[in-house]
Amino acid sequence: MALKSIRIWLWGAVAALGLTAITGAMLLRQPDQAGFGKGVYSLIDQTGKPVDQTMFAGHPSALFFGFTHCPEVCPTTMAEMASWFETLGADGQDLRAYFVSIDPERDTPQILGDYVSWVSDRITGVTGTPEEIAKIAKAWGIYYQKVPLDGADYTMDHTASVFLLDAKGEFQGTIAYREDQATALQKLRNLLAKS
Amino acid sequence: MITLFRAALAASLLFVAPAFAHDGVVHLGSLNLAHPFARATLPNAPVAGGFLAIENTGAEADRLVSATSPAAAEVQIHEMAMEGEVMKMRQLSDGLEVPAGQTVELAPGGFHLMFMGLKQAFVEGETVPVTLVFEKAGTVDVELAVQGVAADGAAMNHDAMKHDAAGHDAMNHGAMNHDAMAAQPADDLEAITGLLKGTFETPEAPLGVEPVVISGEYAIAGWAQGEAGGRALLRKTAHGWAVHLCAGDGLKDAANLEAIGVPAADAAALATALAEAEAKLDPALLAKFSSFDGTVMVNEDLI
Ligand SMILES: [Cu+2]
Repeated sequence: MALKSIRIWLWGAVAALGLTAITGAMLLRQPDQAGFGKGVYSLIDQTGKPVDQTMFAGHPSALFFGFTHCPEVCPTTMAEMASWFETLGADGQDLRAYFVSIDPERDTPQILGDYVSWVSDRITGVTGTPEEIAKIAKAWGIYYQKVPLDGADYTMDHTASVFLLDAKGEFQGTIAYREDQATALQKLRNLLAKS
Repeated sequence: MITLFRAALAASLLFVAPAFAHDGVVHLGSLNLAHPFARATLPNAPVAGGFLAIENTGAEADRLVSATSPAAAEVQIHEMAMEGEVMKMRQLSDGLEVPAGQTVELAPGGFHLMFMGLKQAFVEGETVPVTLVFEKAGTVDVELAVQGVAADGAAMNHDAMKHDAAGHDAMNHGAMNHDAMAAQPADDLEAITGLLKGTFETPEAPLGVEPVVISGEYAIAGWAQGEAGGRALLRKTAHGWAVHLCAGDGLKDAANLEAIGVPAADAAALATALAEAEAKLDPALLAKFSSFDGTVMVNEDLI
């Protein structure tokens, strides 16, 4: 679908719905404009090495926010990521992936390291102080919230989509949770083709 | 939480005809426990999910009240659901009711046994023992077969990565009517949902696509994004599905559809199927569809 067509639809919605629709329209993909995904933060990777917002530059990326105490969504997404890397093979050699913990109090670099290494050697586990994690989460519009369980335990509600970034680190789209394999791979191939 | 979990409930409570006859079904009074499995865990993951189907052939409701396992410090009964792009999980402190004559599925994307404080990793091919306590039927030991990290269930393809079985549909389409889903080619449904989401969804503005009704190469899809919504008329071409135009209530009317160029038979079938599907939806969602004012042509040459 051409971009022009999308705009027409949007303007229809804007006219009909006023301010709400304008807000919605602002959120739609505009790859040429800086803004979404932009932030300044100091974090560490699974080896303890400092990383910041520049980590996404120089290669296309798949970015996911999760936590190792996650029973289903995160392991499933990690398994799917592993299969993306495997299926893309040499075509995907430029692709890097990032698993940013939204539970930094429990996800130390050591814990993250073994966890993400199961996926690929091209995925980086990212953690840091709760304050700095909050900054990167805000930049990407990530919802995350502690939910108490019996005892002193807790789990996290969190956004489950995978973000796709081009080689400039610009947001290009998402892969939804449990998006079918063919669609996800097509999105990744599109990303690789334009990066 | 009631609203949030309604979709998951509808997807999880499958009203299956009685009599499981498979091997490996555990019988406990009037309960049949089938397809018990767990998912393998990633390195360092301290939690795991366990799943099974609980059929209640009795005349009285029963309730799964608790579970324990030597494999974990604690086993809780949980429910998860996707709310837009956000995964939410809640502990069911009062347990999980199994209504008389029905089957409750604990399955990925919905209810699960949450193993917490794992003593060791769950490894594919091994089994994990769990003791389930029911309010009326009593206590029973079940062995969960550990499958792949993203496995969808004992009765399905073991490699969940290579297919999109029921678990996936249940997740994505939530409360969508089961008859309607069965009557539609799953590929078309997925293609249309994928097209609309792929084009219009963003991280901060999840797009709901429901219902989708299809007749031949024509389809109408309801969509909602935040407070906005509408209906889209699509046509399938050699290159797949594409949006012809967007409108509000105008697309409910067969005569309108015919005027646009949809063949009479398809127009009638779409209008009927749409009315039927929408009758099952939340009036608030329908109000969003109606709020789309006028008609916006997206792809004129399509029809
Ligand atoms: Cu859980």
